[in-house]
Amino acid sequence: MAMIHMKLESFFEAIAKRVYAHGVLTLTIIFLVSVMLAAQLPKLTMDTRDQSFFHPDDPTLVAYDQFRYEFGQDDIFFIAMRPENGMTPAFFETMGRLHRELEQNVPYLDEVDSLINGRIVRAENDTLIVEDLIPHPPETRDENQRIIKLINHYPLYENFLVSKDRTLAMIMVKAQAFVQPDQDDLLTGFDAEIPADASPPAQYLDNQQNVEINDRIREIVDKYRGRGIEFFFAGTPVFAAELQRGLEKDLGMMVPMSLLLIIVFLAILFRRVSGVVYPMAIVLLSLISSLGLMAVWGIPVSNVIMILPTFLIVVGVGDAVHILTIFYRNLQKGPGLKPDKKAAIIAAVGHSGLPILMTSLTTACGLLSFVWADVAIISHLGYIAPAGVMIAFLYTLFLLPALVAVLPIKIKQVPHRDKPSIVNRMFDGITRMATHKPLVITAVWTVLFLFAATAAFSVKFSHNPLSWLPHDSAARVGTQLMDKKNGGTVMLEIIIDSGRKNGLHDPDLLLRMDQAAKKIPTICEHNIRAGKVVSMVDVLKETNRALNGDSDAAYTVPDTRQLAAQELILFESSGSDDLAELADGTHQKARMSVLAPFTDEVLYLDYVEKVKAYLARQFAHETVCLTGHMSLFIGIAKMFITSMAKSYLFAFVAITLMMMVMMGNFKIGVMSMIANIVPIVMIFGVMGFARIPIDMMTILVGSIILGLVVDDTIHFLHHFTRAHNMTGCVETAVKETLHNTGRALIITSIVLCGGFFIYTTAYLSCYVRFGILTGSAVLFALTTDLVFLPALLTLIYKRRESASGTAAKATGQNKIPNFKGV
Amino acid sequence: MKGQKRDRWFWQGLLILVLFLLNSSPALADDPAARKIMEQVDARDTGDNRVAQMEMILTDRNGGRRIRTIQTFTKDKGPDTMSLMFFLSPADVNKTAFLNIDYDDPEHDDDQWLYLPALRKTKRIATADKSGSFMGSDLNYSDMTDRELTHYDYNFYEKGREQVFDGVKTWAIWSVPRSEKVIKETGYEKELLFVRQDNHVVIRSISWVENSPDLKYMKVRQLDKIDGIWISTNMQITRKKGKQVIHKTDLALDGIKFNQGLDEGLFSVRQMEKGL
Repeated sequence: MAMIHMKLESFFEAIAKRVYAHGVLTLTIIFLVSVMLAAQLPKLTMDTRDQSFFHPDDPTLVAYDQFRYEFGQDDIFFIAMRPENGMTPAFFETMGRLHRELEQNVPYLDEVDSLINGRIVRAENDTLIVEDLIPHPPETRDENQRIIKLINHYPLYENFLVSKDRTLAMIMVKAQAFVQPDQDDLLTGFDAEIPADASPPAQYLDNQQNVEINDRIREIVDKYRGRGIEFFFAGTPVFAAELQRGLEKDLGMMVPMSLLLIIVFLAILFRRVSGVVYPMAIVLLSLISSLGLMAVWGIPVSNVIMILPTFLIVVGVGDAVHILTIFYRNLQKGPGLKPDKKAAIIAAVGHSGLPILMTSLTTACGLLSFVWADVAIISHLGYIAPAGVMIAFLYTLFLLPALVAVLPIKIKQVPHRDKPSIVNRMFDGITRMATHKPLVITAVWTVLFLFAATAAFSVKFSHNPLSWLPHDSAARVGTQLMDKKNGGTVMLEIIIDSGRKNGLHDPDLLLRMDQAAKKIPTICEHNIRAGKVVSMVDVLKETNRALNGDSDAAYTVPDTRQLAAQELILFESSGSDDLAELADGTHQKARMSVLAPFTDEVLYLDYVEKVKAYLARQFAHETVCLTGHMSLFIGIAKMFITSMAKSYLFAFVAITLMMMVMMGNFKIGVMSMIANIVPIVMIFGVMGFARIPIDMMTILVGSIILGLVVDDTIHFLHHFTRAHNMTGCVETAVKETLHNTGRALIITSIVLCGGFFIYTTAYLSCYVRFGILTGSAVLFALTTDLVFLPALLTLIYKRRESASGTAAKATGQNKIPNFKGV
Repeated sequence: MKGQKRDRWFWQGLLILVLFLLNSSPALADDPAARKIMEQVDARDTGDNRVAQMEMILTDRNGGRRIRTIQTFTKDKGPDTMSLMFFLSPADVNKTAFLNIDYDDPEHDDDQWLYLPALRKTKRIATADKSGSFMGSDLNYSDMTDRELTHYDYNFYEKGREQVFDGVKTWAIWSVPRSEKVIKETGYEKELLFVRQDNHVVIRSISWVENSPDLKYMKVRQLDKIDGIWISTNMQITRKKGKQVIHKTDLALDGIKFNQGLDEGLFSVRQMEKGL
């Protein structure tokens, strides 16, 4: 093993030598590659929609898209209006103007629904009238009263277009489900073939278009403020837009802050311009290249990918720090000797090349584990983050010697210190404690581990984007208000397939649909209770009532299939196209839209199971399919669990194997993994205590941390093995290792920790939790590496020493030769 | 202007569609040459006292089809047009009847009645405008009524005033409504009409649906001369969003007979309730 290590060191030295000789060429090549990748950056997109969690071929997404293709959009931008003086003529007048302005100016619009165009089906003498509720604003009190009476007369409006207590009136803006490119040539559009498979087109409304709609709606609504009406916004598209705004805000702050952190850290550490400029150049170029690669691969910036820039900055700088530490030390060596920057950089790369390759591989491996995640945006991280880590490694390996070769370096003389520093004294103390009382330390760690493991069992899954937003954010306030006062803001769509053409004319099926519409709002689970159910049954009941003298007793479904069919013809003939959204063209499939409140998405699982069980009984002879936005939520919740299992398992197995290979020792490999599992379990323990759930971001902590914290272990073990091979004494080897790498470990951990703690300033709370947990895990891992790992090593090596140590001591091999690379 | 009466039902009304988006075309003033062609379209004899059997096929975006067969009777009464239709199939709507009286006076709302045999009741239907779908098809009521030429500006299609379809030469003419009111009433922002040069029949058209990205393509697939009158016996109206077909309607006429001496009494609620 030692031979391989030496060969690899020579290999890295050879690379450095070559690069140094062709410094300008290397810089030019890397710069050109970076520029080429940077040119791709404009292609980068952003996606914060719930659909972004799914792979394109995910059955839940496919079913949802198929549904939207057939029946149109279920995502609604809700605008709630709360008039100070109730529903007065002036309020209806303002609402009417706002409604029309939205209709005319919102892009990608399908339709706007509100009381203004609320459907009225009524009879006047022998005439059936299908009209809008408020075609013109009421001018008199009587007219206003008539409208209010009509609102009360139509059960469909309540909890949908108007709240039960009549304090809120809703305007629902529905965008097109998909945007089609225009016909290339107008005249070729006469071809009317419908493809045999009738597969849905791919151009569903994207995030940018969603944001465009959202911005325009807010712009229009802003003009109507300050007129005695309060406005609120809710609905899943509003949410996606607000998340994107939060994401942009956080990205805009996190990246500069992490760069600043790195600059300050490098300045303090090296106290040299080159010590700041070199790593920054490497980090920036590798960041730009990684983002460019992301654009090439078509990976959008998502809620998960958001952590990538900061992550690459703090992790990427570590590689340069390790090489530069040795390089500067080498440069200052030997007072009186002429400093040789070429020899210094070659030796530094030779010395640190292998450990930074190993640490880059393990970090990449931890991140690679996300590739198999069922959550698409997490799997995106699995592709791009390892690539970014390896780009940072390669850029460090090639750029650093090239930069040293091309740019001048000031040689500083370091004042000689007589007294050992506080840190070194602390390391000595740790060494004594760890090597003299390994059993006590192991016992303490075991107790901590068990304690944390117990608490970890109480950690629950959760996905509640509402809770990520600040309490006063417009989407959060609006959603909570509408969930409380109105039917809700999330749709569950039920498709009932009768199995035959015109099956929906069957009065028995219609009756059962009517029963279901009444029963579903009574089903409650985890406080989720639907506020509204809308279906074609409403149309039939309204028509039936109108045909029977507007008598409330006739607000029922037709009792023969002929009557049902004829009432539908009557309704269709009366100029309304509402039916197209409620049933398919052949009247085989009906849609029931269930409006429910927004809550933790994991909780919908049980609720929908309950609804599903009821529907299975109610529609035993029909095929019932559940989709809509709520089904996406359920899909996401399920995917979290499977994603976590797959990713953690892969990361653990792969990194354990890598550690065994790298250490060249099965026992040491396993032991190092034990040491690294501890901080992860501790983090889950903290989550258990603090009731922090496993969500979209905290799910990432385990694999990321495992990939990162083993780095410290690798550095530690790499140096320890060298020292132990030379001295044969555990205590001396631990001491020497701490003196040589302890400082670097502490510094890189502080940087990592600082990088993750930057997330605590995030606008979206999911990043705050992620930052605190990941940062804390780094600190736990550092403590483990500094204290627990030496104790474990002592336990393993002491036994060997007891067998062979006496002989080694006798030959005086515990005197340490210089093995620092030069 | 005195509106020329023609066969209003279905495509014939559509064939003389004459609109265009007023507010988006300040540069496109009325072109007298294009207007002259439209006047010839308007003046064409479209027959009277017609009996025919119609098949209406409605196809949704998934390819699901609904087929209806309807017996139709049409008669001019002065400048007004009367139409009566009986549903023959599907069985659930057999004997359902629809009566329409289309008044030439634009201020006079059309009269429409529907007879529902299951209830043995006739209901008059009042609709706020004519832009609503006709019985779930891709035609709206305005497609089936006469258009007032003075309500529109006409211009030739800027990419070529002549277009050839299947070897047949047509004039391509924009029809742009002169007022928002007309747009609201017809449901179309503008239309591009293709008028056959030899017989002045509109054989194709493209209509821009108001407040929507959708376009409606109308294509006459079969044009026959019956009793000296040109009539489309097969046509298709397709509603499209970009390249995507949203819905389409196929109409086929069979057994067309003109000048059948239909009695005015046939176009009554009583007859509708009595059946064929």
